[in-house]
Amino acid sequence: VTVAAAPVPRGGSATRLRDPLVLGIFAGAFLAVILVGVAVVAFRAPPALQGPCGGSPICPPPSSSPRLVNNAQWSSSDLSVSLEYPDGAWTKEAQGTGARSLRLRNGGGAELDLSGTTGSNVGSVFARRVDELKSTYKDLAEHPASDGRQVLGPSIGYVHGGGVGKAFCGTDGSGNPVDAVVMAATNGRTTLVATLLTGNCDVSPIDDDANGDFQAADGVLKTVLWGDT
Amino acid sequence: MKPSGGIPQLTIAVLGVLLAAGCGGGTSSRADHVLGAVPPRSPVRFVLVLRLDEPALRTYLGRVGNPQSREYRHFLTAAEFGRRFGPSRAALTVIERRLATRGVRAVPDVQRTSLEAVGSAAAVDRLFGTKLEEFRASDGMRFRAPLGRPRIPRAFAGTLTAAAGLSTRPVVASFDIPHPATGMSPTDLAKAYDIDPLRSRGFLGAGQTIAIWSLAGSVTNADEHEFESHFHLSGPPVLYCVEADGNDPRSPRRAPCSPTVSVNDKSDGENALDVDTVRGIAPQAQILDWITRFTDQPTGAREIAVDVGRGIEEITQDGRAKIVSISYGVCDSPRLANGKPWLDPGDRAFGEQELKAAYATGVNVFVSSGDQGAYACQRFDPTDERPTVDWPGDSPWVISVGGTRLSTKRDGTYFEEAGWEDILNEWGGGGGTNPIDTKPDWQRAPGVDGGPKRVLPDVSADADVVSGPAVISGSTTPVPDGGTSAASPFWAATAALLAQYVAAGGGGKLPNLDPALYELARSRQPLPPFHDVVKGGNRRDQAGPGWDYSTGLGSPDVHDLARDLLRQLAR
Repeated sequence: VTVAAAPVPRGGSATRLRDPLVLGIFAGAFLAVILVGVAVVAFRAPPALQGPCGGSPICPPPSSSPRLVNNAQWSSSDLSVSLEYPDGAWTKEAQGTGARSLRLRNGGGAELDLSGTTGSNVGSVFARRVDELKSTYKDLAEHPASDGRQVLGPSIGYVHGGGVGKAFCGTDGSGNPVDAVVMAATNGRTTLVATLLTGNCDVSPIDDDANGDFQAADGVLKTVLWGDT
Repeated sequence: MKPSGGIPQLTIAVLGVLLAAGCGGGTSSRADHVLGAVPPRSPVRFVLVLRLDEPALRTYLGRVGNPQSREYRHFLTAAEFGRRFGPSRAALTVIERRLATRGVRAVPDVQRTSLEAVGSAAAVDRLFGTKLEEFRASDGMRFRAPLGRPRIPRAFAGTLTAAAGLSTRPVVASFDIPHPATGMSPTDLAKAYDIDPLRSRGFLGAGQTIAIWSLAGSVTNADEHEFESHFHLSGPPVLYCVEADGNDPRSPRRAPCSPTVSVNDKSDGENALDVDTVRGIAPQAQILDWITRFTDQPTGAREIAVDVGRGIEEITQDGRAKIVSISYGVCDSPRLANGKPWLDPGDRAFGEQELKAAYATGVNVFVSSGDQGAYACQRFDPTDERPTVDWPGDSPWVISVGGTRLSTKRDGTYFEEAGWEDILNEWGGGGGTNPIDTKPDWQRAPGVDGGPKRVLPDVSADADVVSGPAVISGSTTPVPDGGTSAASPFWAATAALLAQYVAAGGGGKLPNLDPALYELARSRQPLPPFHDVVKGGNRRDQAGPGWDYSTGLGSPDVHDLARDLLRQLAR
């Protein structure tokens, strides 16, 4: 059996690599490829991660640009409370002594009242307000469960503390229906009670076509700022 | 009248009333008026859910979203999914033949998750041992539903798990809330959520495709063009993929996607909200507007739960979109407090199966968490005050998007957010606990409760009607629209920006985002990717530090999130 000898490359590789010219060309080309690669990566890659504080472990104070306010403002220095309302939609109708209360009315006749007191007894503040309403609307009664009008998660200005809320229906002196939703909440130092009065007891807040007053009142109550909360 | 005939007639009448009241586990209700049996020869189109290799699928789904796994981001095509987890081709042929002998024509989908089927009402009644009846709801809507729970015949028990679409009760609702004021322009939102740095570097969503699943309201090209013109935006024309009608399971359910559209089924701004929000945030992304028609049929409108599963199935099969936004949902309960049957378990099972297939093929599905706060079912029954959530927004296979109220500084940058809740109006971002599905392994972060069930939302964004995005629908003037319907497309568009950014930075393709976002939230990031919302709530639970039932992990600082995500993926 004859076995052909394995082919041997012409010119030993070791010999060629020792040639300084070949080595130089190879190193130059290699360097060029690396540089081009680095340039491409640097160009295409997103910038290196930078912490929000420029790499410093201590952040500077946040931007002092104040909160954007689009609407009319009302504030009570006595209660350390403020709110916003769109003055095209609501009109300030009355303001209590020491700016402890506010009454707004919208174009549709809905009335939104907010009043406050120092202290944290939400239950008694709520009960007092309901008594006031009952003295005005003699037959005022809580909506039955079948109306689905339970006030869930009552809060004012996102403060839920001790929040209590109920919806009522009655009639005014002229026999017109009055729907009243009353909510009270406290931050431990101040207690606020809000009342929305509308002229229709049959409206379901969930009904997209008939919920404008509820939506508008929510829009105001959510802007309430409680002093340092 | 013969006395002997009275008792059976009375018995039938009493039985009919009991069944209509839902006493027999049926899918009708005492509030609905029974019109009579569906005519026996009337064609009924429905879906049969195929049994998958669940243990293998569960293992794969766990791995494909797990960065520590070798299968991380190794997504399948729809066909690969079918071959790996679905019944064999031979088994499918046997099922088709067996169904044909019972008068039902059925065609499997590519991912082998279900069979689209058509049979006469009589054949369907025989197959499932039920009785299809026509009903009229208290609002006048007509629909079809089976009396008694449909049962899969024993002969098919090994291959089929459920039937879907037998009920055409309109249960699906959109989550948009129009508001008569001004709205946040795309520029406003981009500034508030720190998108500007990406925009200025050219990250506008190019190369990404987002599918919007919607029920058609009023959709015209004029709205799209008006929005682009008003806000000086340009991008690839929206492609409208409109559902076709018909009862042949072999015919395409959808016309080829086209840049022209004119659908006027119902006055509804949801579609415009979704399209405009995506276009405003990721203007160069390709939008596929996956429209299911509101076609009135003898059996009622098409706001039906099975169409959610069908839409996901089609989008997965189509393969173009790896990001989906759904701003619709149905309260995840088989029955409302007033006794009315609601989400059919078969429809739910079908949708979940399709969402798993979408997840496996690398599709990130963003779904609004709902607009009734912690009381999802109250949307459909005002007296239903049980803590409930919406499906499919509660699915473990979607990114559930809750709502906030956004406030900016005078310079337009981010000031703060509150969990969106309107106490008087009974609205708020959906949040709570999935009643059925277990908590996925990835749902771990500070604030997430230790309970066994999937909780939601995952993330959130501006949804309050007062601060909602500007939308053009049927006019030339932008108006704000809100609800979590605004938040879901916002996040979907954000995902398109993230995908483009990550790809450009060498991070590869976008992973399943839920596991990735929770991983970012679990450890301290050099750049805070989320605005942790700590005030407001969902009418029941208050927002607080870390994850919460109102806002999930929070809203995005998009520039920071992009850089953190790239760092995570480039590791």
